[in-house]
Amino acid sequence: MHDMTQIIDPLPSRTRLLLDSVRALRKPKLDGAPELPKARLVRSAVELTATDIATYGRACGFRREQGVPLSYPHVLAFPLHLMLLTRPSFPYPASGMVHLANRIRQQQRLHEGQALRLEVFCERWVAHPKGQALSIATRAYSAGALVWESDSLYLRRAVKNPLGEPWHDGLPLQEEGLLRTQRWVLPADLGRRFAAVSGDFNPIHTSLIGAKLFGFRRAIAHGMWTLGRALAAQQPPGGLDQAEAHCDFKLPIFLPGQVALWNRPVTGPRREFEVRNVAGDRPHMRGLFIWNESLK
Amino acid sequence: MSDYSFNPAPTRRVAIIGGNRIPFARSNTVYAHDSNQDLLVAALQGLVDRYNLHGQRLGEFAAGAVIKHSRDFNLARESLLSTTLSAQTPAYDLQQACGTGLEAALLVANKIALGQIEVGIAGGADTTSDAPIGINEALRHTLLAANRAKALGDKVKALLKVRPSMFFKPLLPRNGEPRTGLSMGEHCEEMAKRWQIKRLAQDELTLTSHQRLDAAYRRGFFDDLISPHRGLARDNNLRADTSLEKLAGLAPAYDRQNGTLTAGNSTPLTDGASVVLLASEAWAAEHGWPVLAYLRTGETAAVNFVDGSEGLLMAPAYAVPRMLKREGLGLADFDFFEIHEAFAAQVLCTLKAWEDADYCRERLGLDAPLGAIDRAKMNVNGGSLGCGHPFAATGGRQLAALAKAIHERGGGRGLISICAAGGLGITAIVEK
Repeated sequence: MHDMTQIIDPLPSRTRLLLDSVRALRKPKLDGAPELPKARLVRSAVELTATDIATYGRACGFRREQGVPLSYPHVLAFPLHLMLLTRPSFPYPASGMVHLANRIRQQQRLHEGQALRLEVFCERWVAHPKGQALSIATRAYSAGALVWESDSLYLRRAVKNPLGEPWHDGLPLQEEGLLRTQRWVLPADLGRRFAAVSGDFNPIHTSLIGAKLFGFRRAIAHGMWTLGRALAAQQPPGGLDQAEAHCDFKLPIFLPGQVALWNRPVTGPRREFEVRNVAGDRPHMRGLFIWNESLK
Repeated sequence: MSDYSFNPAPTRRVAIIGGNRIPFARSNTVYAHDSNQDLLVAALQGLVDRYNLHGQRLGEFAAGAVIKHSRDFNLARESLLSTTLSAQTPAYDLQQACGTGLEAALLVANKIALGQIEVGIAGGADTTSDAPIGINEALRHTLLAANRAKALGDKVKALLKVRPSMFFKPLLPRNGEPRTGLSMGEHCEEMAKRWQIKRLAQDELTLTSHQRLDAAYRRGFFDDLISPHRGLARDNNLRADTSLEKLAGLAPAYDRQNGTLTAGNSTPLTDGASVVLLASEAWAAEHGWPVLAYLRTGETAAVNFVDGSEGLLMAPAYAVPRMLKREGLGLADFDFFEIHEAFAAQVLCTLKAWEDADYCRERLGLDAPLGAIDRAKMNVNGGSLGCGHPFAATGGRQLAALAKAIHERGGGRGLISICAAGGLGITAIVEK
């Protein structure tokens, strides 16, 4: 089995992606085991432009002095994720895929003006207690070297006898000693603002009616926004050379709303954190952020 | 070879001649229609009247406000022009959150000490009733884009992006730390938990603050420190008849389940202004004014509260031992402690930290704990919990009251300590 590499240039329009998503709302019932899509979708040179980074940074609360946000290349690759999930050969409806967890690793400092080759492919099946999970890999290369990578775990609920390696049970976290260090106010239009920078116009994030259609009482914050906000809140000034971020997505955050960041008061380049509701008793995200010297 | 030589003059003692403030008023009460400038003018004119400074050209007037409208870019100078001081007196604004008033006094004092000026006034004012409300950020950006556009067509195109909703979502001033989104009360609640400060201890400190402030008013202590304003002669936050029972009945304000901070043991939003007259000894003698006390020195500190490694309001805990070491003094060398009571819990956290051997060693780099403060010497004429806390006016209030207390005692030494937003701490030593 070898990958089918497909160069995506130009990127389909947002309307095209949206139409494909609508078409992928229904999928024929599977006969037998699902097959892992073999396509490798590639954007050969995506520029990290200053204005787009600034717009993304404003949406997530990054400051200029923090450099290219660790979570930023993910939004550049997101249309490729959507193309994979909405392909006719993808076994499940795209809209039913729940983003469960994400890990990001950066090997080298990223710069404005730098061009990245982005590759996105389905990497492996993961057997989750709640259904069939799938890891989608994103790889970013600069001058032939791998500089940034992301693994996104998506879940199709209620699939019996899922394939693949068992789910790793999520991030361990010592809850004792976590303190509430920040509170964020999330406006009603946050989903639309993030959609404008991420290209993810999934109605569960952008509209009340859309969210209700999919069974949510209100629009919910995008998980990758929450991750971006948490990284922005915890990264010290100065860009990142090497860094890692791991997160598990927990309960949805309804918009508008308020959430709090809980972490451990330490000064080293490592943060274990949780994003919780304001009362502090329900988790929305659990994460780990490590940067620079601690990775060397 | 240069023929330039620098022979600095020896520094001089800085005399505190007196102070003046208007009674502090809870937000949206009697001063609801006063601007920062109205309040500052009232306090400044009161000082000019008391010390007969009409028409005099002073070295400078330094003052500020924390919550300030952009039109108040020259608040101190504009205020001065509304008084009977000589219009030839220079003025400037400064802002260091709740440390503004004391920092202003340190700056004026340093110029006097260096011989650059003979006499100056330091002060501050704040109103949260007349708070600046900004226009919607999206509307602001749209208007700025239209302003940048050169051609009429481009201007119209930019203005077409204006949406009616932009007019109904103004930008309100926030009572929160910009980097954490938490209010100061929420930060202090975390500190209270970290230092295990009991609710009762906070309420007791609050009660003492009200009682001592009331006693000071009754014995006429404030008669030459306050000018009535808008019919108010006393701080209207003062509750002479409050009790531990009444305070105990208040619900936690920042953490309804497990909190200990209430509207009683936290300072309310307050409107007010204060000013202090500082001069060289020669100026004081020439004008026949007794010296209440001398402003000896000051020290500021800052802590990293952003990553949670230190409490937001703990910077004075660092500033004071640093200043004492520099001056060769210990807590036992003081007769008065003027500790700003933003929250009773924040005062108690600081006092507990100075008694904690581990904290003093690990955080403050001290071999032994700094020590305990004799509560009988602390805020003897009341504190911010009693009179309220108009941010930039608190330093001037404390400085004038402490100088007078030292003067009344016939001499002594006092410490001022103020915690401020941004993890700042501003402290000073006053003595005679």
